[in-house]
Order: sequence, then C-alpha cells, then structure tokens
Amino acid sequence: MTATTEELMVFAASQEIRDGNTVFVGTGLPMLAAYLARATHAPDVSLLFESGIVDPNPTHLALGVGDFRLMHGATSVRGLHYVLGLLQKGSIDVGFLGAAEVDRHGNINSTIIGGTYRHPGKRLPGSGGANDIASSAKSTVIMCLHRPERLVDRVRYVTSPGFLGGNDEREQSGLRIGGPRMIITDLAVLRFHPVTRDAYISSIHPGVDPATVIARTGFPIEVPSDVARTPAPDDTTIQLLRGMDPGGVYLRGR
Amino acid sequence: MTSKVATLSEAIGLIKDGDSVALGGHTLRRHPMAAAAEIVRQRKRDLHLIGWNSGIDFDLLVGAGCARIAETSYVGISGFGLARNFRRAAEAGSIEIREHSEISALDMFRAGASGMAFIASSVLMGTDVPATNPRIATVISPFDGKPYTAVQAAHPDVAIIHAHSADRHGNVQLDALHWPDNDADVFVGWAGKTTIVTVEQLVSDEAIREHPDFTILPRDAVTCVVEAPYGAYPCCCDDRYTYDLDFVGDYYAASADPAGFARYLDEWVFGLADHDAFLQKVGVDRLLAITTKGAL
Repeated sequence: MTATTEELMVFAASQEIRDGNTVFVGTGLPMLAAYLARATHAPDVSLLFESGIVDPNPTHLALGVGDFRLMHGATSVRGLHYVLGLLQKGSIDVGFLGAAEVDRHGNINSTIIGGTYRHPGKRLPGSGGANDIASSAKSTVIMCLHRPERLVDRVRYVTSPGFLGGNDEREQSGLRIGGPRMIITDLAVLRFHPVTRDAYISSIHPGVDPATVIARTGFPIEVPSDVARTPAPDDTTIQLLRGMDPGGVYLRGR
Repeated sequence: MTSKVATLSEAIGLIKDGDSVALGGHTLRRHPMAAAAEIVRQRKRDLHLIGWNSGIDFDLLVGAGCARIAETSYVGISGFGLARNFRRAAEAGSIEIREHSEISALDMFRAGASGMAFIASSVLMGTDVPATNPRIATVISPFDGKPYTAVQAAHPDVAIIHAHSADRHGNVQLDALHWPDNDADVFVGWAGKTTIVTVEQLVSDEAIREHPDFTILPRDAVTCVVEAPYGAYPCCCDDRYTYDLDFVGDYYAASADPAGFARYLDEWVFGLADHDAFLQKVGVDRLLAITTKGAL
C-alpha cells in the first residue's frame, strides 16, 4: 500500500503533535492530521477548533468550521473568546496554517497576489484567523503546494507573520512567542535555521527528484545529496487515515 | 411597551446611503441574508460594511454595488473558493478593503459594545495588516512597556444580526443548542447605534420569560425585530437548518462574471417582491431538505 501525497503530508503533520499538546485545528488536511495523531501516538491531545469546540468526536467529517456536525461528541463548546483567548495567552502548542503564498522566512500571504494593494492582480480572502494563529501559537505548521510562485523569497503582503525578515526580527516586532516550525509541501518538508530563520530542506518525499524541489522553489535552495526522505505511513496508518475520510472529502488524490 | 416589530422593508429603510452597516454571522453560518437581499432591493449605496468573518453576505452586497468599504477579516465562499464579486471589485479598485484578523475584528465590536475607545491585543504586529486599516495602530503598554496592537471601537450606524426568536418588545433569543461563536453576534448587536434583528420566529412574551438565560440581546439593545423565517438561507442556522450547498454553488457559478451575476440579481432579488416571495421561489421541498432540527 502506497500513501498518496496528501496522506504523506497529513502523516508528516500528525508527527508534529506530541501527546498532551493543545492543538488549534482548522478543517481540511490539518483536521485529519490531528485526528490521526489522537488515534495513534497522542491519545491525550486536546483539539481546539476556532468555534470554541473542544475534543469533538463527529460522526461525519466537517466540511468547514461552520459545520454544525463538528460539535458532535465534544466535551465543551466554550465559545470563540475562550479559544482566541487561549491563543493570545500562549496556551496553544501547535497551530496549523494553509498558505496560498509563503516565503523563506515563513511569512504567509493570503491577501493579494501581484499588482498593488489598491489594484491587486488577484485578491484573496484575507487573514481570517490565520494571523491570530501565526502571531500567537507556540509553533505553527504550514502546509502548501510546492510551486515557484507559491514558495517565494519574500511575500508581496505579509498577512500572517513567520520570522518576518529573519534573524530576531519577529521578536523585535513585539510578537511575543512562536513562529513557524516547518512547511510541509507536496514535495518536501522545510524547516528553519535557528539563527537566520531561513528555510532549508529538511526532507524530500519518497520518489521526489531533488531537481524538481529546486526547480519548484521560488528562491535559491540546496538539496544535500544525502537529504533525508520524509517518513511514509505504514499500511495500518494509511487504512486508519482513509477510514477517517471515506468519501474523499479532503484526501482527494486516490 | 411599544412594539418593536417591523417589516423587513421598514427595518432596512432605516439604513441611509453612506452608513456603516455591520453584519453578523461567520463564513457560511447565520449571516442575515434576507436583510442583505433587502438592502440590495432597496439599492442602498456607499455602505461601509463591517463583519468579522464574511462570505456570501459581503459578496452579494459588493456585487450589487451597495458597498464602498469592506472591513472584515475574511471574505470567501466556504468550500467553493474566492468570493468572485468581492474579488472583482477589489481588483478593479472599486471598493476599499480594511483588513483584520479575527481577533482584531472581534475586538472592534467588543470595544464598541463595551464603550471602550480601543482594545489591545498581541496579534498583527510585524505584518502589513495595520497599514491597510486605519482602525489599527500600535500602543505601548503603561504596564510592561511593550508594544501592543490597538483596535479602535466600531460603532456601526446599523448592526444587523439573524437570531432564532424574539418577542414583540425586541428581546432576542438563541436556542439552547447553537453554534458557540455566537458571542460575536452579541457584540455586533450591542455595538450598533441602530440594531436590526431578523429572527426565525416571533414568539410570545411568555416563551421568552420561560428561558431568560437564552436572551442574547435584551430589548434595550434592539431597535427593531423582523420575522424572517429561513432568514439566513442559504447559510446554515445552528440546529434549525443547515446550509444549501446547491444554492451556494449556483450562486458561485452565477457570480463568475458580471453579466451572470446581474441575471442572478434579477432572478433572485429584484424579481421578487420580498423575502416571502424568495422563500416561495426556493420552494418547500428545498427548505424541508435542509431543515435539521434534532439532527446533531
């Protein structure tokens, strides 16, 4: 049994969750990663959803954060301010973020692509809760597609902060904690240098050509000849994961 | 006590061109869509829309040319993609967008609701968001000397939310079983200089008094109440009904270009006298199919 790229990404994300962590979850692949972590190595993980839902056990996969079915089997529905308050208090260990465009310091743009702010080439939806998570979680895991126009040297507009211009700029800005831990793409896993906060290739996914990674990264990046391969989930884990999304709502690529 | 019951037409008639208008709801959930359609029908112009996480409500009003400013943390058509009318207007530069995160958007309503000039938070620093919203600035805390983000209070000329029930005096309630981020709608309602609440049903005084703890907005906070069953459609409304994704999908397809959206407006807004006519056109089968009471 071979994991699809999406399954590999979800598995990699799930490995960042430690047992006992408090995790801020959106819908989509991060939700599956959190469910997978809870079902395997992190049974005591605390899952918080933006709407104030704690530890749900839904019988159907939620289609979005506004999906009422997400409330099923939860231990608490404490409300929005509770969860956003936990964020600002620094109580969230891991937050997950998707990104239309992310740069080598982990800054995310979900506002405008191209053009000027007043006349953008493409207008995106905006921050939503992403800035709140990126500003406030102790660490974040970013998931995005590995394309040169998406993984760029410097984003056009910083919607959600990574390490800003690198080095200690994030700390100097007044942001108190956090910063991105990694970027999981469809080709590789990138992490950040502890001093410069520049992204580097930590591993590439099984079967991926290093030349492809270099070609699809929008800034100069090295892939060492002895680069690690991203661990793939075993058959049991793949089956578990597929059972969580039997309709292929989020795991589309199979 | 005087009745605060109004028709939708009367209530929306309180909005003047150029007003700031706050809309409750979140993504595809419980936006006051019947009220939004009536704003379009009455051809309001130059509105400053304010929301905390917006969707088809903002997209409809922007697409119909009602808005000059859109101030919110997000505008998207959940699950389908970008809000196409909003996107076109933004790219053409025909609306001004004032950016927020969810925390800052909530804080502007919280500040407005509680009579504070601003509320401080620890988000948005270091990003491009403060420079693209005049309501956001940096303050230095007198307590720890550190910078914080200050968000100026919102005092919308008109705030509109959709809720489950109200009595004729304007006491507004949500069912016991409701989506837990309704705290936002409460602050939206409290922040308004004029507050319009559409509800699924008007109920007796006794029904309200039976569960005073369900009241989210007491009558002092409410200017008028309007009975608008399925007033959030095609958005979901807690445990009353879920969203109609087929309708949202048709909307999304229609909004692909201005001509298609003009046809949508003619068919679903201008061509219908009021919300009742809209519900007639949607039809009983479709409404029953999304009605989910007790389905959790």
